[in-house]
Amino acid sequence: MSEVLNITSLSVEFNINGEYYHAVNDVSFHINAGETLGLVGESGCGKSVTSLALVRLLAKSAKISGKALYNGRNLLDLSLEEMHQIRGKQIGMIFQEPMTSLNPVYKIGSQISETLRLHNKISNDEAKRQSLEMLRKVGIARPEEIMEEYPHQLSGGMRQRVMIAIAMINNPQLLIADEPTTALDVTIQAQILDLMRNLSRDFKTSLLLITHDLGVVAEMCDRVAVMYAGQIVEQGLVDDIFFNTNHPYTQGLLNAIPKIDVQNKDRLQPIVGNVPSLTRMPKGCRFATRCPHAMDRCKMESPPLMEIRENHQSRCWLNDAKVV
Amino acid sequence: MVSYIIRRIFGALIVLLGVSIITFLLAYAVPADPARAIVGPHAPEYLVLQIRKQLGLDEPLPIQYIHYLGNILRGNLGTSYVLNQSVTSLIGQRIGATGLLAGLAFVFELIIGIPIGILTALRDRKLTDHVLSTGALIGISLPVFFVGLELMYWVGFRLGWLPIGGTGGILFAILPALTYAITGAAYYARLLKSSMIDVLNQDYIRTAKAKGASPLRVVMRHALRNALIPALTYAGTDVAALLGGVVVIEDIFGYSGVGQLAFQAIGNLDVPLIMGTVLFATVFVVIFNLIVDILYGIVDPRISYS
Amino acid sequence: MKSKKMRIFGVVASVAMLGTALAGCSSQAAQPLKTAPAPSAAKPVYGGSLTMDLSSQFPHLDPAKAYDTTSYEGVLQLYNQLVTYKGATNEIVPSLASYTVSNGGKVYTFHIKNAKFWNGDPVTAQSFITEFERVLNPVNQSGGSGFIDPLIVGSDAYAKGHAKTISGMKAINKNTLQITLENPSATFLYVIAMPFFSAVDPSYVNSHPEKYVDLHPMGTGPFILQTYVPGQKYVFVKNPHYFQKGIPYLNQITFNINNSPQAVMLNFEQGNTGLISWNQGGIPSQDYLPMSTNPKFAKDIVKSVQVAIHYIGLNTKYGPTKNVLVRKALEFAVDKQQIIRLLGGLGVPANEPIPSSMPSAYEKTLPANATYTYNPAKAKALLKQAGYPNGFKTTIYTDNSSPDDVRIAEAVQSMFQKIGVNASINQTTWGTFLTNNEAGKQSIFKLAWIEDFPDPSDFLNTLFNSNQAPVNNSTNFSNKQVDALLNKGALMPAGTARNNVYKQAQNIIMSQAPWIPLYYPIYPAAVQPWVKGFYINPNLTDPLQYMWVVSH
Repeated sequence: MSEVLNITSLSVEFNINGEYYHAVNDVSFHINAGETLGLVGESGCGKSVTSLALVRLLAKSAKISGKALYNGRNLLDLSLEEMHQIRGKQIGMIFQEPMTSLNPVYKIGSQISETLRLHNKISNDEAKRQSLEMLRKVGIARPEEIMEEYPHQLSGGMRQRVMIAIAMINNPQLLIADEPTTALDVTIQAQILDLMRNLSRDFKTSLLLITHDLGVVAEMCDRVAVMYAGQIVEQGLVDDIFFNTNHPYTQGLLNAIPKIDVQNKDRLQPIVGNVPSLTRMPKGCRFATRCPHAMDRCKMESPPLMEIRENHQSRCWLNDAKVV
Repeated sequence: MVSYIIRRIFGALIVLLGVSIITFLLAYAVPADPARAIVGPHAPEYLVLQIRKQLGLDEPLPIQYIHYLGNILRGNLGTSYVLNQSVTSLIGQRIGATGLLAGLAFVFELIIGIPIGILTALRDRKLTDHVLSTGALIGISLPVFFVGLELMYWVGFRLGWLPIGGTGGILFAILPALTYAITGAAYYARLLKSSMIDVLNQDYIRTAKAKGASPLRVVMRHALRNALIPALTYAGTDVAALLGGVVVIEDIFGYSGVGQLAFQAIGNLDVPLIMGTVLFATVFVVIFNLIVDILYGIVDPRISYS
Repeated sequence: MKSKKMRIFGVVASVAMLGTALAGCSSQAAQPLKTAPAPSAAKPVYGGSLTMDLSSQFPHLDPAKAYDTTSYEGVLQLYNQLVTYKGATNEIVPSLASYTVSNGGKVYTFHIKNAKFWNGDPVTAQSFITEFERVLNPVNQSGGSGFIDPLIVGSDAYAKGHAKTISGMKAINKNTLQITLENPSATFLYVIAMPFFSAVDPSYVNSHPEKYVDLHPMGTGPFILQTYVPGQKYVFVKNPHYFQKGIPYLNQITFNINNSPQAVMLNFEQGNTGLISWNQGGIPSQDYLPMSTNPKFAKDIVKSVQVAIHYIGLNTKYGPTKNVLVRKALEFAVDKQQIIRLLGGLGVPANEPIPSSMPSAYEKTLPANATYTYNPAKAKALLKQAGYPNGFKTTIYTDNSSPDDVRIAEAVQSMFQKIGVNASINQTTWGTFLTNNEAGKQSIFKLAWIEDFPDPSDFLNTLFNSNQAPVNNSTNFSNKQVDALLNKGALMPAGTARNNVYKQAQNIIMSQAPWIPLYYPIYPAAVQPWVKGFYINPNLTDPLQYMWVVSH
């Protein structure tokens, strides 16, 4: 299986009041062709920054280091011109806010066909025909009318379908979906997830799915990377993450999901405390302040990402202790 | 849309009625006896009385107003006391010149203001921004007559490229229009800068970039049209200022438009001409606002006219 | 006429501030006053054209309505009168008619010359009768009616609609016009030299509405109005059939409407225009100094003292000035030299209402009780005597159409301040000012009077006769002895005896101090060296028909 994307030691620093702070710290992961990787974590953990960094959509003031190999080419070294060729053509993107991600002053039809025409020399009519077809594929009824409408005339779910159409119309190899369903009603969420799954299967597209919702991960992903405070704390196959959970943070996330089949109707167990701020990262394990298992060592020394079984890594001193 | 325009025109008529009453009262609040002014100091008293009667000035004020209103409805704005010509034709002869000047001034304002607004937004807090913003601030701060006279002197006199003053075709309107634009464009530049910065942080701009659009395309196609919406709102409210500015600028350049006519009418207390020019200005503002509102709907599809 | 420029001043800034070649300031008046040159003796050149900036559209081109210098600039080129002024003088000479006077100065017989209107119709006695009737007819709102009503027999009856004709005007035959006056008049010939009394084509004016005639003149004049582009320009072309052989010289005159003083100066400096004179009401005041001190242009300036006066009116019936001691105190408080300096030298200090350029009745010195030389100490003493040891508060009224008027009012304000009189300045538009002024309720006001014709009666009878209060006599001056003298002078034949009557009246007037005479204005014009034949007649506007251009 070939790798579509390989991220190595990706770091992103932001300038806050004259000093640089790591928002993303030494993140590495890869996505194979046709595979879906879930990038999971609370808001502010750096998952969106990671995705924007690799397609170079962060503000110029952000300092990015590391490597982001897309089909063997380092995206971080490409010229802007080359990036324009890749965005929208080879890498499609869907964002969290369907309500605001479409340009309010242009018709749906022109916004979809723009992606086509930016990357392909085709006629107006052809672009329109393909856009219509794409709208049908993303399950929009009466696409001819929708083509002529403006974003404010559409519901949130419809808009997200349009966003998917825009992202997928050039049949990209990689689709980055950043919280694509977070802002939607639950019933619509399921439809959109179905749609994405089917499309990525049909189009043989790799999917980087960014979400805070482990339910979505369970449904969609082949592998999962859990991020906390700018670092990957646990990474592995979806089954391992759910059933052989290693990192206390991942465990905390799982405990926070309501379960219907469980006998005792205990209250949900939220993770106590807050995510540390960028400017005040703990010296040791970044989760230590909130971790029920924290030891003295955790507060002093930052744990490395440790291989705990094949294709399963975790960043926790408890594993070191077991080994010892 | 049609019903919207009809409603707006109906509203405009009410505005006009109000403006006409206020202007009428103001014109008469200032004591001035046009009869004596018309015939001069040597005229016998009976002639002055007779002229007062001819002009209907011996009637009570409300009756005068009703007569005036009746005449307006018949399309008759009266006769200028001083120039002895129908106000309609006097204004009609100058609408073209003033419309040309105002239109050109507005276009120049946008031509200067929009690029500065875009550039300063893209180079926010960088050298280009500081240079252009300072330039714009100087533009705002300079007195209109100073800019006008400098342009007249350098472009008209020293370079000899354009007429120094007076009225004629479009060539005569360029310097006056430029004068207005230089002192007014900075407002558009500032407005556009802030709305541009705001728009550039919007999600749909990220979408545009994600599509692979070039920075130029992102700015010109995706951001500009959205950023122009607040500027357009400003243009609607700015039209009164535009007219006011045009009056002063017409005077600086000896450009004989409706503004000059109004200026002279006020100096001579030529009441029918004052009324006529004020009503003209009101109609102009109302029509311009209507056009801006319609443009608004074209630029921003979220606006509906129902 | 009351001084009024049709021109409206807006933002005023001198061309000097632009740093032009004209820049350079001196607070001194320039070279000594050149008397206006007589008509040039050089040999005129035919052909060519002259371009000028005109301060506004001609308010009127109908002679019956024209009563301002801008209109005169046009009307005097388009129409002719029975008589006119010779060259730069005050001497009346025949124009369209020669004349004889009989019956003790009451009957004038005019022999009309062979002349034609532009449309080919001949000028006849009826051409004048029609115009005199138009002037008297209230429908035409003519400012000229007061000059011949009731002077001409039957004029009043005609004006009031009691008669179908003016009984005192008769066409003896086609080319002979007889006018009978109620009484002999020293000023009648001056009156009929005014543009009001031009020849008009009866068939033309009777077949067109008056508004049409006002825009579309049909005259006998040396130039024909060829085009008027509203708000933009007038083009006059030569009348090839002008009754005066060999006149005019120019083929064409273009008046571009432009009232921007800066643009007018720059156009002149660039050589786009040939003349700044009555087309602009003279050189704009703020541009006179820089121009007159610039060697390049100083030689282009021609000046002449106008038959006019600027004064401060002191109301004899209203406010603190009803006390003659207060009026005298204010007379002594004003330093006229300072005002002349303020004007850049464009004025001659005045001590009496009759201008120094008036051909008759001007007095070099007045009796001691009518003479007021600048003396603040004496002014203060008089104020104390009047019961105002600490001065008083008052208002100086002026109009804002000319920047000079405002500056003068401010100077007078500070002079009054020095003797304890605190005056605020009330500055309004001309229309408002005039209406208030003519109500006679302004205690102190700044105003000017420009002659209608060069006769003392036009000043003294109009401005000080009690029967003219309050409209023209807006200080409400009233003195039985003065009234008697003025009424007597009006009926006397011209000559020393009449002049003495006016001098006597003036002495009494000034002893009562209803006015602070300030200055007689000097009129400056600028003429390009390639424009020839220009002169200033104090009673007329520019002699365009006698001017020509040489190659340049």
